Amino acid sequence: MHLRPGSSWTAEEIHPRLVTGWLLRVVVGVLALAAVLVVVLVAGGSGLRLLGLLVLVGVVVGMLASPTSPLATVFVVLAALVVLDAPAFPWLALPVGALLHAVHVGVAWCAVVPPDAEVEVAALWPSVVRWLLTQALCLPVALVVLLVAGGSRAAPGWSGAAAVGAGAVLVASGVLLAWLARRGTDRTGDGP
Amino acid sequence: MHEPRWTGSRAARRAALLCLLLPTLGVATGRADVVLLAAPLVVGTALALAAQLLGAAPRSAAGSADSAAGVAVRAPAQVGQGEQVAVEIEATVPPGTQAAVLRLPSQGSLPFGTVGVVRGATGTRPVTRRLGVVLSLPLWGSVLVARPDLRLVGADALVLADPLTGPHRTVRVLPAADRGTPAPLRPRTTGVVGMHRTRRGGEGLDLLDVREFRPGDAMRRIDWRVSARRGSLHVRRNALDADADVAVLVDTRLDVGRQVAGWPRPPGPEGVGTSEPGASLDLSVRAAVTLTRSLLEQGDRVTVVDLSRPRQSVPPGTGRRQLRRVRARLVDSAVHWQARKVVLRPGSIQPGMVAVLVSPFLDDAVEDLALRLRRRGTEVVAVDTLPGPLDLDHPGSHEPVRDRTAARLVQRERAERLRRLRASGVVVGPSEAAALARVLREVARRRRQVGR
Repeated sequence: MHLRPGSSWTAEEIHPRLVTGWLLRVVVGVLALAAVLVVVLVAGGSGLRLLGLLVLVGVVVGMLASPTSPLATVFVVLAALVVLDAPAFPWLALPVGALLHAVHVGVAWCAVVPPDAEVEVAALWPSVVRWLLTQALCLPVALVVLLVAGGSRAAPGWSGAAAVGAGAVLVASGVLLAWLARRGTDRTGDGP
Repeated sequence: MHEPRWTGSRAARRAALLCLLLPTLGVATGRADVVLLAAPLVVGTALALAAQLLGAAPRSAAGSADSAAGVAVRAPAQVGQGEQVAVEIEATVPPGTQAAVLRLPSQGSLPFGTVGVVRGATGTRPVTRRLGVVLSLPLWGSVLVARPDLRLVGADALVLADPLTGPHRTVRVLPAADRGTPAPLRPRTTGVVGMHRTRRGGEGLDLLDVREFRPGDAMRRIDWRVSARRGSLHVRRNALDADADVAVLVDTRLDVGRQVAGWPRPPGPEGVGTSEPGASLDLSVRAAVTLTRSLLEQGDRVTVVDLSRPRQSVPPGTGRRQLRRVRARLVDSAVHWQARKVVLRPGSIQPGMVAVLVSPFLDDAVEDLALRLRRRGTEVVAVDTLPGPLDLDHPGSHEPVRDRTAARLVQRERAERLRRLRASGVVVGPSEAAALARVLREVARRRRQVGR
């Protein structure tokens, strides 16, 4: 039985914006596949590239089908191994790390929320805000680390620009989402 | 109320492992990019756990009253079958909780429905979150509508509280009556003034005949026009209006569905009611309620007798209150496994009553009862509540041919039983409302023929 049709939420006490567990899985899946593509296709590398692509896609499907399995750990470890094989990766390490962090949090929620569940969006706001705060904290640290420690290995061309651009997008979206979250708090009086 | 006990989830273990493994790997291989890969995970996990710890600090300072979690269910005590029932689940969420996961009631008999996730409490005081679901219950009986589970989630689902089981909430669902128009029955004169015209003289409105004046006749009954024409005093005689008395006998010894392999069905989820809409007990009870409602609406007196538990019977009565009484009594009907034979207390069927026997007619006991009543001169109507068409296959059976043959034998015996009943003058019909109306019209027609 689902809440629809024949039954309905009474929306008095519930924030009207709802998502389903399926949508949550789709979002996590897209983030994980984006991480896979960045790691395997963009970062370069040798023979591990194709194998890594196939294995990681399989792992993504597996971890979404069974979020309580250790496949999410395998996913991140494999991604790290592919990173080790990629010569020009340093500037993309932080965006990929941000994606892996998002996948990690998303899989944690998927383990709690069944696919047919109805989720109040406001319940997920703290996780989104915390993720943005994390990236905002990591970005300056990463820049310093790369410039001082690992910057000499990075190709100074497009990958560096992409990393800086990604960081700017992250910060801008963080500000936007924090503002939206603030609005939600004001409206309900008890928001994220 | 319940004090939540927080434990780390699998995600917390994963985070701990990766936060150790990736930086170690990066340092060991001299790769700063691997360390940076792990940086968001490490910082994010630290932020989440810090938020959880900070949320827990004022909670522990406030005492257990402010940190307890609880779940309650609100629903009406009694509804009609097919009516919508609003069930509200109220969860008390302690501070420091990011979200509360609630399992909601499902449609039908099972309480395990879908899950709803609502936001938690971010302040220092517990909050109450309410979830409302509107259900339509297809079953009658004592139906379990909700047994919600509550699980508290904190720190990006890295920590979870032990699940809290909510209270069982049952609702009495009164069996519904199908819309039907059973025909007027043969009246009995012992009742209070009713709606049926009898062939005896009385205080009714319909003219029965005109006859010569006899001593004792009321002056107001003299028909002056007829008296003038015939030259002697004549009086008008009106027909007596009276009630019909009907005894609805419900056979609750078996509950069988269309699937022969599932015979006999177990009792309903709470021991009463039926576990399957459309099974024989459901059809029997609904046919009894339909008949009772229609007969009471036309002013008849109705009694309902449970053939396996005669103490549960409803004494004769009229009006809406009687219908409520019958529905409330039938809602507790259940399959009575121990009852092998039907029990009818002496005096339950008075002379002149019409007996309506509601049964799937799967054994001889109920046939014997019908024939016994016929021999006493009682008009008997048999309402057949075996659901059909039957599915004779036994999936997974080791001997499918034998089982199928046995089912066919039972069918043949039943057909022969119904044939014998018809031959003895019992009117037999199915349990649909329209068919009930036809059957009762047939009874009324026969009685009129006998009366002439």
